Amino acid sequence: MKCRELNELLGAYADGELEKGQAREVEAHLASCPGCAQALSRQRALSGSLREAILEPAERAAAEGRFDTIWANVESAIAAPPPSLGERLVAWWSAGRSARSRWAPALAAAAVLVVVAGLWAARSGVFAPEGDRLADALTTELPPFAAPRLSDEPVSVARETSGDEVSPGLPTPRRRGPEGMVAVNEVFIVDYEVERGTVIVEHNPEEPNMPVVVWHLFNGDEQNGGEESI
Amino acid sequence: MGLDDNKLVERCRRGDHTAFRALMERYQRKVFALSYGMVHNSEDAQEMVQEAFIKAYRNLDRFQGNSSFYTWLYRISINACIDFLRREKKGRGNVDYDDQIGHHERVNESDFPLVSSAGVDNPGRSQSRRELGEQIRRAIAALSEKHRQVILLREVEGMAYGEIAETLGVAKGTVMSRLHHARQNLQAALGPYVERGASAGESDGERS
Repeated sequence: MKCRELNELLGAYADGELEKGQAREVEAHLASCPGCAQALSRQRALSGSLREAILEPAERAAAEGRFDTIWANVESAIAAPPPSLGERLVAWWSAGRSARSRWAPALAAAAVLVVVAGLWAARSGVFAPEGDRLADALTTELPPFAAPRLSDEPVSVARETSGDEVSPGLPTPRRRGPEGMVAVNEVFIVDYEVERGTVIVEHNPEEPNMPVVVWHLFNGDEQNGGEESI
Repeated sequence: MGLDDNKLVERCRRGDHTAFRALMERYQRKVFALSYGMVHNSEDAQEMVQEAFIKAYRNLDRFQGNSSFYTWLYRISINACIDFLRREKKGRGNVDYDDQIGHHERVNESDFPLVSSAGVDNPGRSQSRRELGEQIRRAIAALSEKHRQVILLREVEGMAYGEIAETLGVAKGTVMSRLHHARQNLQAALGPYVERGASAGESDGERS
């Protein structure tokens, strides 16, 4: 075994993750190569220092009593009934509102933002029963609120959310009717400081209680999109 | 000591908050360390810890018990941090550092050459333990997101490669190669410091 090959295995060796045969080869090399043996002790020293450095902020947090605060906040959150999807969506929207509107200058105040809260029936009807509550929540929290407009013909959207980018399968405003917005089975339109856009709540089969919100907003030539679980 | 994780999870499902508190006490420091490693300041890390535990509690029904509770919890925690960072990046384009060193030279996640961004310019000066810790955390912050995740999981929990693979949803071989490259980068940035630290602190022999 050459030093270069060994170098690639050293970490896994130190972590006890090599197969027996491979580990024996590494040991044989180490016994006869002081340079590599030294590299191993450097590696172990690094691990020890890393661990300490990574855990230190948590020790500091404990000393500052942060974990008491954390428990108090968690306890009150879990004591309350879990928020509905609508409430979560509103909270999510409000929390990121300033961040999301920063790119959209205030001069667009007269422009209409269209938020489509589409419930992804193509996957399943999991959220359908909450539709009304969602509408209520949006009406209260994000005024002014125009009457929902539903497309006659639901658009079925085949799209997987994986990777970092909003995938091209997301329906673009171009593809929709004169009312602008179509989602699978529910559409809401809200005034806001961007011209148009979509917010889709997507069922995540792995975590049914953590739907993924996908948004794609337009203001003039600017676009802003992303996705996160709420 | 105490009940194992699965028993505690079972109790939580029946609405026993003290059982959930026991789980939190068991993992909160590690989840905090992991979150801090991702978001780099205490306020945001606290938020992330809260979010992770609240999400975990609400999704306990989904936890199958096929994997260990903590790999599941760490995955929730990492995902919460990733979402947070994306949100922040869109809003502000940068992260805040708590650590006292080098506020003027903020690290823009992945673009900067590691050595200069970690501020390793004068290994000769005396380093307090705390300063060394800060240098290391800055070097970790300068890693790519993927490298940072494997390093944090490996060093915080001493997780086996298979568990890290499961937590991140990648192949075991990927974990091994990411760890290798992450460590090479860290060693390049921190070598002089760590060796000094090692010779000062571990003269009584090697730890295993």
